[in-house]
Amino acid sequence: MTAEKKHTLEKIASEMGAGFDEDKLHTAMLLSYASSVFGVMRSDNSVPSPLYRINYDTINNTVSLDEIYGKTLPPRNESLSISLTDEIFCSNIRDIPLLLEGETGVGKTYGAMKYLSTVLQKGNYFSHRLSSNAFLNNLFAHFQEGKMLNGMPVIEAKMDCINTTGGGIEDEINRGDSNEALQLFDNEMHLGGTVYKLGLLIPKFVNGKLVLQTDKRKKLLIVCAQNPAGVDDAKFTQTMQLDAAVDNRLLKTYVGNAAASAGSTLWLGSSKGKKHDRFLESLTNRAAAYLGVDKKMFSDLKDDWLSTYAWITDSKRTDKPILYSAMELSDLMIATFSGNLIEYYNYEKEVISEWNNLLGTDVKIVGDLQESVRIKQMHEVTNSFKVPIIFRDIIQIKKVADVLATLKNVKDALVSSNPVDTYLKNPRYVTVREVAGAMGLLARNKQINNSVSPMNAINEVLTQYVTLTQKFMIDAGYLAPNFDLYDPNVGIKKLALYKVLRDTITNGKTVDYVINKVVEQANNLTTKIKVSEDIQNVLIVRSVGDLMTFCGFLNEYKTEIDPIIKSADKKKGVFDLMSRIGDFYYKKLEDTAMVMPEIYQHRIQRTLGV
Amino acid sequence: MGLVRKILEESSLTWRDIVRLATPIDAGKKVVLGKNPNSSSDFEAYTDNVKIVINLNDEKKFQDNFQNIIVPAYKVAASKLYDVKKGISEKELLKNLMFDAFLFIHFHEQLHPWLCPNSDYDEKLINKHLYEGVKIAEPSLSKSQAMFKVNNSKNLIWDAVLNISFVSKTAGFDNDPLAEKISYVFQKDGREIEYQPVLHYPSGILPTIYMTSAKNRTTDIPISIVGAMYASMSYNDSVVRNNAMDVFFDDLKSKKLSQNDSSALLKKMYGGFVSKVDKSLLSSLGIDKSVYDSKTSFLNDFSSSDYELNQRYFVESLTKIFNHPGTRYNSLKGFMEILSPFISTTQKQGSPDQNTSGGGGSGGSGGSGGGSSSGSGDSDEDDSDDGGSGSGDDEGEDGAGGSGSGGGKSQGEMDEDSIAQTLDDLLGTLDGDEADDLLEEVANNSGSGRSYGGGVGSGNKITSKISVIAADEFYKKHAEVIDVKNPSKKMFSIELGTKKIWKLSNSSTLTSADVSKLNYQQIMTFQKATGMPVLMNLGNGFYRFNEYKLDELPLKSYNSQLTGLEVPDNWVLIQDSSGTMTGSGAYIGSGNSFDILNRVKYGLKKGLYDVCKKMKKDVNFGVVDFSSSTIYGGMDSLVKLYEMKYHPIKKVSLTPQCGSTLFNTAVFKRIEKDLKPGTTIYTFITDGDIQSSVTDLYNHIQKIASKPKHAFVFVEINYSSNIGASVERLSKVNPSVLFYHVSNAKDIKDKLSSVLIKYN
Repeated sequence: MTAEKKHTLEKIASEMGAGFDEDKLHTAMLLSYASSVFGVMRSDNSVPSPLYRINYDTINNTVSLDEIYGKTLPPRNESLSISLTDEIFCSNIRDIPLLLEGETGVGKTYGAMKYLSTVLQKGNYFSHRLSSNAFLNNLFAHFQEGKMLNGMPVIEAKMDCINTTGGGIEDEINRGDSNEALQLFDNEMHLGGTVYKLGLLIPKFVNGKLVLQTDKRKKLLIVCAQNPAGVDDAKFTQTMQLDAAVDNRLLKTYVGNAAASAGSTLWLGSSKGKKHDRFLESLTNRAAAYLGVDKKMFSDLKDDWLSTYAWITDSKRTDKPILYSAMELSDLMIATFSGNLIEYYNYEKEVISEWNNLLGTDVKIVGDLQESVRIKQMHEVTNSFKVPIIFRDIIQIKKVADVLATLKNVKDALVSSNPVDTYLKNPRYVTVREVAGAMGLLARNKQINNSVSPMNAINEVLTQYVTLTQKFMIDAGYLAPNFDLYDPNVGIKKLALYKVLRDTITNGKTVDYVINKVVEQANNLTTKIKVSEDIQNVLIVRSVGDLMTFCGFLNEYKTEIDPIIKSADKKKGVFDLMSRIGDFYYKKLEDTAMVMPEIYQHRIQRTLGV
Repeated sequence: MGLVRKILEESSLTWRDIVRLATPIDAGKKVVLGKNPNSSSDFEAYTDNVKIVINLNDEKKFQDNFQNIIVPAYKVAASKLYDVKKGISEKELLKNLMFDAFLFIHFHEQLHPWLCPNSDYDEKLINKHLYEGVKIAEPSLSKSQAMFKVNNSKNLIWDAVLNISFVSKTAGFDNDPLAEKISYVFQKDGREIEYQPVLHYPSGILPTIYMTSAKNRTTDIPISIVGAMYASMSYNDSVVRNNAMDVFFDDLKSKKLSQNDSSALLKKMYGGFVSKVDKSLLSSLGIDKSVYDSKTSFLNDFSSSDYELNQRYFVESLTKIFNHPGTRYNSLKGFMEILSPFISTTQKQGSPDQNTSGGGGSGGSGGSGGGSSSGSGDSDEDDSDDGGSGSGDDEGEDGAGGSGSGGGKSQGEMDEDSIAQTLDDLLGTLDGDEADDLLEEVANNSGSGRSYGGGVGSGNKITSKISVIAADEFYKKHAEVIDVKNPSKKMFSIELGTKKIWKLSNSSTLTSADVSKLNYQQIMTFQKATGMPVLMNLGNGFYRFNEYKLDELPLKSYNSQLTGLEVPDNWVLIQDSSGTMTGSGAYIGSGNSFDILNRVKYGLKKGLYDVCKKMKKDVNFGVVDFSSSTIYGGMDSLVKLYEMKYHPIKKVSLTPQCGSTLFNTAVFKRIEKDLKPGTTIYTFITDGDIQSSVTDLYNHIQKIASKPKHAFVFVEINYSSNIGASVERLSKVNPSVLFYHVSNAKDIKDKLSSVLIKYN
């Protein structure tokens, strides 16, 4: 680009003039990008390989997950279908490396290659097929070159490739070196003592001008593929399991065989021209129409594509808030699927008991959790996990939930008559719907073959959560206690704290008042413990444990929090006070990180939702 | 397909739709709709907590019951029950009532492990409190009789908890989601009665199956009075309520309980639920005892205008009480105190689920379900599976229903499992002395218990097994274990699996251009890790490139093995249970020879069991009991035998014959077939002269002892017999024969332990 030559995005922004809205521009480009990539791939007769269908019943709050293994099904209202291309698309815009597992010939690599060759020009992506010969395997082959210097072989980074590569395929990833794989997923290449950051630079608008040289890189779109491992242990086979550390970083998907469903359709259909060129043309036409700008603005798109691509697919732009209820459900799902529920229940009882001793309170959890049929059913699911729920899974739930929400947002927009407005107007949150779906996909990934479906157990936790929340909504004075996915104020602990803090602000009370009232709320929760509702009881003790920890936190920093509470602004309301207590927590965490009790870090943030 | 069958299948689909939304974890629960041609009941249902089985055995009888008993009682207010505006034809009412009854049966079976008993712990505590309730009501009752009452009433009590909670759930009390989900599914399915939408589960379904039993006089007092209690909490219309109550009161009258007495009993039952519950705990649940008493006192005024309010209060209060661990069990104790005098000691009450096992899924199979109590009045007297019984006087009337068919077990086997579970629960929860006394009493209840004689009724059959279980438990608890020294450890080589070693597979010469394509990182890592050369500079731009492949070789390691102890592969215990060993079957804890012999046996078994566990070896064990007959129960793993509550070998071992001292040597042939290869030890214990052919016995001993790895130990207790003298002489010439004369049974332990467990 010469000094005078404007970047395509900048030209469009100028064309939009006073109406320039970066969100609108991004939405139009994102939706055009999505439509175009699918359009080109489908017109090339790259037949879709459907993987899952997730349906959320918003009236009854239950989720279903159909694993459809390549078989297409008639459309169903309210359901979100996820195909192989959808997964690659989400992996692309949400920066989650993807692992496709499936039998040879079902189209894993083919699908990924089609996607990459559509969105990127040749040379801007790579495809490696790893062999069983370790010396010939190099995950970074695209970024390195070997030279002979003074008769000695040396290896050097290919900087031009590093700066112009947007993604790649690593076929038979399980044959690769784990350390190299981890580096690749972290978008790094360690070579000769130097760490090279991979990925394309993401430009940004500053005062209407596009700055290309930034310090932020778009992560590589990494699609890995492998045949299903023949065995689950580490025996020496050509298709052995991936190293656990590598496995845990990937969103793993089983690709079914769509051949039977597609049939002879595969012979038909035709397309002309280079895929990437057609893709850019399609994107131009769509974006120009969405934005109401002249197509000429896109004349340099091919030259500007890599930075435009990085800008469109910047994952930060599709980040979305996680609603309190989604976070709370996710937290409770993690607790209930983390292992032995009885041990967990007893742990929470111990936490509550210790807080009682420290605070002089008397929050009683009557009775123990027994090994009922339902608890055994839950354990059947958790026992089928190859590896228990670990930190990375918690992050994975968030990522997958985010993927599901993103996909829904994009698809909902594209089926409407005005996609850009619809996308911008529709609520873009991660809700309990996405968390439940994500938990289903995650659990499926973690299970050994032929295990019991986790969906009934997930729905049980979801149902119990919604029922309990609705009971709290009634207690909090909701006139119509129907659980609304998008209600940001709903959540067991949030409702409890809301009531307490509202009364505190109204009556101008102190921190002691807050503690007493939160204890009352904790006691209110314990009255909902029932002999016959053991899964709900687990949700209750965890919530009570959190509320009591909040009391402990308030008590420990009483002198500092009291002024915050006393100075609460009636006009700004409860959420402002919650936010200020959250700010205090973070400040305290920073100041006293080494000595602050760990339990606060585990529980205060999620209790306040900050 | 008949109408009733079709309705059953439709109800099953509806049930699953509701479960998917209300209790999703059970959404995949299997339901088997079948037919049991051997059952005398029109239908039966049971669950093993994994699946639900509903057998529709006689469609016509089922339909007739509803047509002739339920529809006439309900038609007067059918539209009110179903909450529709216009009247409902009898035909439609019949179909809908049957549909909703089947729906109830599905829920009843599904909810058992949710509501009662929902775990082993729950079942144990309920049994304990029922036992205490019986003891309060009838202090003069023996402990074993109290236990039988607990066993015979427990299913009825579980059902009471479940059914009351079901009424609460379907009414949507405490914001229970079930009512809402039922409503949603009914709407989704477009359920209608004569073009009028049905939007919620109707009132009055729960008592239907109890009413048909009562009308057909196939109930006992407990089931009929509990049915009346369900009726008192199920209707939203006073006329239907009165109609239903009339059915139950008529039935109770036929059992010599006047309407006044029945009403008084009902009132006591309502009060019983709170009589043993701590007032402050009740108060913490928002229940004031005096308010409760006042409101429930009006429940007998079936036409009261406030009836529904009091009814709701009653159901909500009981649901709260049952859901709180602090009140649940004492409430049932109080209830049992009232019901106890009417509970049979010999047969299970005609509960709809008389054979359903509890314990959070630990139990075996279920049994007859809702159909049994609706079992239509034609069970004949010979049907030993009938659930119903008399009214506290053990005079059995025709039972309330058909047989269960769970898990391929007979009714008798299921009864035995049930009582064994009850005994086990009580032993695990009652305090030490009470549990010991119960154990001894049940174990010594051998008059009708551990006997081989015929002519015993089903109640005695249960006693036979239970007394063996009790005796076994008694000796396990009280026998002194023989001391076994710890085995020593010995190292031995094992193959852990395979290890991989690198082997050169190919060596080639490459040019500089070829070399530049290689992954140097991998090569460097490999060379560093293995020390093996991969790439070597040959000069002049050429390189040697060595490739390696992984070969698998066995990987050996060492482990330790416990050694120093040796146990035989087979142990055959031949015991004398003649009248001189014990005069009666009530020997447990008596101190007589047979009691002491059993203490010794169990001491040895305990020791052997521990050794087997440590050494990971098992002993094939069998018992021959001889007196008037020679009884052999086969052979089985000692470890398994010790761990099982009941086993046929245990019955042989613990059931003395108390007769003469005869021994039939034909048993040796049978034993031989059951022996496993390896060392075999026979122990023969007697306290008297063998009255049958001793020469034959001597010859067999000689023959056995001549076999390799066989030994025969002959023990005489405080008696010198001719056969004993002969065996003693044989022992001096054949080291495989051992002879011991002991002054009392206690001394056998020392002699036998050294034979059965050898220290190297």
